[in-house]
Amino acid sequence: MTTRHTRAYLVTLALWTAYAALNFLTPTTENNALGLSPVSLALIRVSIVVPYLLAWLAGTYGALTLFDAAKSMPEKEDRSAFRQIAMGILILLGGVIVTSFVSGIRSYMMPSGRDVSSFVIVINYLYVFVPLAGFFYIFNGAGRLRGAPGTELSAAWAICGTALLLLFSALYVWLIFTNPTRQTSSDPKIAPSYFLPDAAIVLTIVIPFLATCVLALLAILRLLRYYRGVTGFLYKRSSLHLMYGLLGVITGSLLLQALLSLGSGRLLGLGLGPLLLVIYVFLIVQTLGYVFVALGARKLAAVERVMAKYEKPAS
Amino acid sequence: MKSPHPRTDKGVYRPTGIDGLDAVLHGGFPSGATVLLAGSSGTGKTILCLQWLFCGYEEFGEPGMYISMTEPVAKALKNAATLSFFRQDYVDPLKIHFTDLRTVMKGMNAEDRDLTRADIAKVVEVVRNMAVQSGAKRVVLDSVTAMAYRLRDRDLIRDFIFQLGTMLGQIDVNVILTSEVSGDGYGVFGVEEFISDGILKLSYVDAAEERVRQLEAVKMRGTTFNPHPAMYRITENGIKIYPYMHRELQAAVSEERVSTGISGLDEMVSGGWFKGSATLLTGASGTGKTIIALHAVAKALKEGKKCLYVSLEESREQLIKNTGSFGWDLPAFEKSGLLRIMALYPEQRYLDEHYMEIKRIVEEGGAEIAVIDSLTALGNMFPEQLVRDFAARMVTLFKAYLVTSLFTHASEALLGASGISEAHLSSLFDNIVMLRFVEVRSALRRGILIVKMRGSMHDDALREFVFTPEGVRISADFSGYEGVMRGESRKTSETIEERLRALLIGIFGPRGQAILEREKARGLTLDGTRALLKELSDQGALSARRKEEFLREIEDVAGR
Repeated sequence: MTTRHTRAYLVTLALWTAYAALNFLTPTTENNALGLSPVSLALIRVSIVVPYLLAWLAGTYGALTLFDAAKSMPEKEDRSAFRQIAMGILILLGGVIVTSFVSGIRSYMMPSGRDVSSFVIVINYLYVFVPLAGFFYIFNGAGRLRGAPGTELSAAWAICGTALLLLFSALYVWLIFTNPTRQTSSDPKIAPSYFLPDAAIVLTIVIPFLATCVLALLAILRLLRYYRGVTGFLYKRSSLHLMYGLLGVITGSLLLQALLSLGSGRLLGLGLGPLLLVIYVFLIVQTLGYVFVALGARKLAAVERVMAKYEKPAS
Repeated sequence: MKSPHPRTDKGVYRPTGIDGLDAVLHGGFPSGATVLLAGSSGTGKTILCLQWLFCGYEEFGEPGMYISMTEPVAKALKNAATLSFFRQDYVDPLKIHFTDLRTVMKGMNAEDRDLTRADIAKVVEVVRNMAVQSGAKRVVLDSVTAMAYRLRDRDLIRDFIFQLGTMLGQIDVNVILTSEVSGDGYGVFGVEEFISDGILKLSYVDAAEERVRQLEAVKMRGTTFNPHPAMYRITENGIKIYPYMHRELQAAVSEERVSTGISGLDEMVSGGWFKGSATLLTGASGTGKTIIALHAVAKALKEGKKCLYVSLEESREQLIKNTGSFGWDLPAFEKSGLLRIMALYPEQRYLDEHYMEIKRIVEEGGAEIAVIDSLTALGNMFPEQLVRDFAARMVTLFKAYLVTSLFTHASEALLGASGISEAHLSSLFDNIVMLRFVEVRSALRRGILIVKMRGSMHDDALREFVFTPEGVRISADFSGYEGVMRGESRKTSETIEERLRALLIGIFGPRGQAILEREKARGLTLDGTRALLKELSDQGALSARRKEEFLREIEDVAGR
């Protein structure tokens, strides 16, 4: 493990510790939205915060290892492609950490009745623009990956993808504009979702998010094309892990947006069981995504490291 | 040089003192013999005579007499003075007496007329008296041809030679009569050879690229001699004769194996060449004969064995440079005395000169491995029959001393059939290794085949070999191709290489091709790939189970 790696893990651990502290220091009263006891609330918090650590560490490891793998690659185009994908993963992870941290602050401040509107707006923009930047890098990097000739995806893939995208977009827009607490909330325990006028929501939230979805979908299709075209067991195996991982990260990220678009009122209206199920599904998908990215990056880095040593001319 | 037939009865035989001539004559001239030295212009008759006289006095204290009939004494002396054996202080009536017979004839008033029988008697008497007075034991009449032209009559010529020989023979004097001839005869009038006790013939032989001088003892009454023509050279030191050395079928044998220096080739020949065996490496130019021979030398040197490398095509510096790329430090081995490189162009020496020098080194124990590189270079200079004869004698010599020898020979055909039978060399050697270029898919590759190995099992397959930075590596055979021996390879099935390529690309993707190229450069041992798979497994890029599977597949493809 390099010093760079060690430093990155320590920073991640420190951020997680701060995030966990914020969560546990948030005052718990009987008067919470779900009417949970402080103990139950604390247990739920633990069940959410602990998987975060695994996801963050796996994401950090995956992104840094992918950078290392890219550095050892002999082809300039491959180096550039994997570097951009690693950068995309790092941005997504950074977004997750920062938004979690800011959300933690917001949750800490909410019970005290202080104004959290600016926090909500910042968090919403972070949720939208950070993934947009991350997916842009991944999309760009995936486009540079070269598979074997003749492995272009068939039109069926594009049609399915477009249909899925349209369906998801329609659902997303419908969820946002049917969210009764998108601008104001009559319940003091529930903060409004956006604190923005509808026009601003469309221009600054919906459209960028749909652009993110398009980039994410195209990135997945490009990775799939690369996976189908790449030759050699070693590369196919590592690219499969990477593809699964990125699919998880992308899905998790989109799922989070979908959850946010529901609004706190509707989420809480689901009841504790379904709400926890949705949250755990999101956590599992995201964590597995980062773990698979880490596994794929680890294999790829090992392959590149060994091959570079083998191909190094004897002095 | 010591004669192979040494005489003990020195009173009867008189050594000439000329290097190599006594070996031809099995000790020297019989005492009192009259010898006709016949040869065309420029063959060195006068030099041989002068050398005989000066060596006679220098080595044996025998005074001599040079009687000129063709040129003034002063001119003869001037010419003789350029030769290293000449000593001005020996030019003395009581040591080596130079005289002009024409002066004698002038005293007889016979300088402008044909000589009569009476004149002959007087000339012989004068010569005898001079010989007695000077105590000469060696007399040269240069030339009897000039005298014969004065005599004109065959009977008179016969009488002159007979009387001169008899008179001088009675006082134990040896006489050399030089005779200027061209063609097959020994004298102008065809009678000289019948009267003389012995005949030495000097002549030119047309070799491939130069005229070679040779001496032949045709006749020598009362003694044995080597009738095989001996090459000779005229140098500033006089004439040096290289007597033909007969070979004797007395080879030592050994069951010990000597490594070829190439592990794959050792496997092909069941462990190495037999110690003392002779191997012919034949193949077109550039196939690697020299490098393969050098592998055996390098290996032997590392084992502390003495080696002799006779390079007739490449300079010593070139050999050192070529082998330096393999990490072999030949100069260091030369310095330590283990290696002796004789690098010289074939024309610099006659075949028997080569033979004698090599024989000397071998007899001194200076070689356990010897390489003659190449017979082809000698073949470009000397007639094929002489080269074959030389090779036969070298093989016999090496066998007698249990020297493991390697000879290289270039075949003319670049691809396909070799020319080993062309030079009729094949029967001489215990082992024959054929190297050849093989065209496979428009690429020139090298193949090696053990054609023959006496008394040992050997691999019959034509195998590919490659040059690597570590040296030559023998790799897979040309299975999957037919017509390879004819140089017209045709694919009959998927080759090992193709199957390996598919497997390596299946594992490593596009990098599999580069891995295959590396393996080919290393002789397809696949050691590198095995190590690579192990390292990938150790580093977590490949599970142990997958590693084992791939290793098994590689072994299957390689047929091991």
